[in-house]
Amino acid sequence: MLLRLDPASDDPLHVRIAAAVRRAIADGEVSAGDKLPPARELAAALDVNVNTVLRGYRDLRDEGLIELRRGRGATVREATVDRARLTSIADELVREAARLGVSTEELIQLVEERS
Amino acid sequence: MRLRRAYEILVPLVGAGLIVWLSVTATDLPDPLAIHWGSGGEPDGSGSLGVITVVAVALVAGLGGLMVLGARRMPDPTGARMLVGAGHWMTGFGIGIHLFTLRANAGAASWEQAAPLMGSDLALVLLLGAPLAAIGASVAGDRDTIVATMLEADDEAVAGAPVEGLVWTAATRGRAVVVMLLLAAATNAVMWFIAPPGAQPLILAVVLLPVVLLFLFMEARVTVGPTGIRIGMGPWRWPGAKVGFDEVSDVAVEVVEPLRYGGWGYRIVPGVRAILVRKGEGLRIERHDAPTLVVTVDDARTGAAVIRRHLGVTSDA
Repeated sequence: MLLRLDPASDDPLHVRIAAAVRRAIADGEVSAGDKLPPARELAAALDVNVNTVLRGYRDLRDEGLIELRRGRGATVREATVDRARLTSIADELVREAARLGVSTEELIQLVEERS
Repeated sequence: MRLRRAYEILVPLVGAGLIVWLSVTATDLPDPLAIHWGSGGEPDGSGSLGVITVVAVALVAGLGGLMVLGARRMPDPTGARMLVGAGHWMTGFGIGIHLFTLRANAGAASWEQAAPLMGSDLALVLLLGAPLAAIGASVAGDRDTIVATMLEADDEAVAGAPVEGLVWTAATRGRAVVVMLLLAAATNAVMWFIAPPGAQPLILAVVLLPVVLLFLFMEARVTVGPTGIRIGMGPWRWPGAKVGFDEVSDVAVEVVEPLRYGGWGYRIVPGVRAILVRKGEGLRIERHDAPTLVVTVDDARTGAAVIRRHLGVTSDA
């Protein structure tokens, strides 16, 4: 599995980890049923605390993208790929809006006009 | 060359045929006959002629034949010589054991009265295969070294992404190994039921436990991140290695043939440490002052691309 974290982002690391996993799911790098790397392994690779990785995984679990089971690790849930793709697109939209100086309210208005 | 390959496989086949012929033409044997001799040289076990014939044929045509066929997969002449030599020695050994068994039992009224096993008999049985092994090894050397196939790294997969944020992980379990281990576990489960009472704990400890441990360990794990490369076997990544990018001189993707490294599992050969759980694509990591690491792992082309980014071979341009 290939994860691409954004080193230039100001977001906390656990947010970036979750975004990288979301993007991997959206890009088809990871399929439903696949196991994510153990938190310990990912933490060692990034040289961060294992709790940082776990926090990112818990965010993904709360979004319904993965299942977290003690002793079994993190597994991508069935039928989450489309949702992950959508969330990944939303991440990119927010990033691009911030780059262009578009406020959150303006962005919401843009989306509402198109819904 | 074809004649040499034919000779290699004919030796165990002819050996097996010879064993069957010896059994069919043997006369004046007790039933059952002596088939095992103790450390004192006296016969201490009996069995039927049919059973020992099958065992001898299995040793010669089965094990010996398998070794010769295995030599066909060896990528280099030296390995092929060793396997064919061993297979032909096994043929001589199997014929020797069978010859001795028949000769020792000939004319005996019962298996207990079979002739004892002398040191000279044992030496002859062991040495009978030597000339066959020498000829076989000599014949087997006539083959070219097969050079490993290399694949390109998938540099496109990581193009445009900042190298500090790239993390690649893979965990690969060989399917053939899993099937073999399941078969071994099933065989051992049968042993559990047919073993004498009281032997079950021994079977559990000595036979089933290693199978379970092998199952656990026959998984290759690799992680590549900003802190370096980590490879290992099984859930505890042992045996394994942690490698900093400054230690790496080159990385490549090899289509691994495990016999090139002597087999499956954790392999130590001159200049290489390998973790091989299946044949197929794997990472080859060459280091400046340490043995090269080879590990069979899925999606090795992406892993190699990530490492190449860290080595500066490619950039995010």
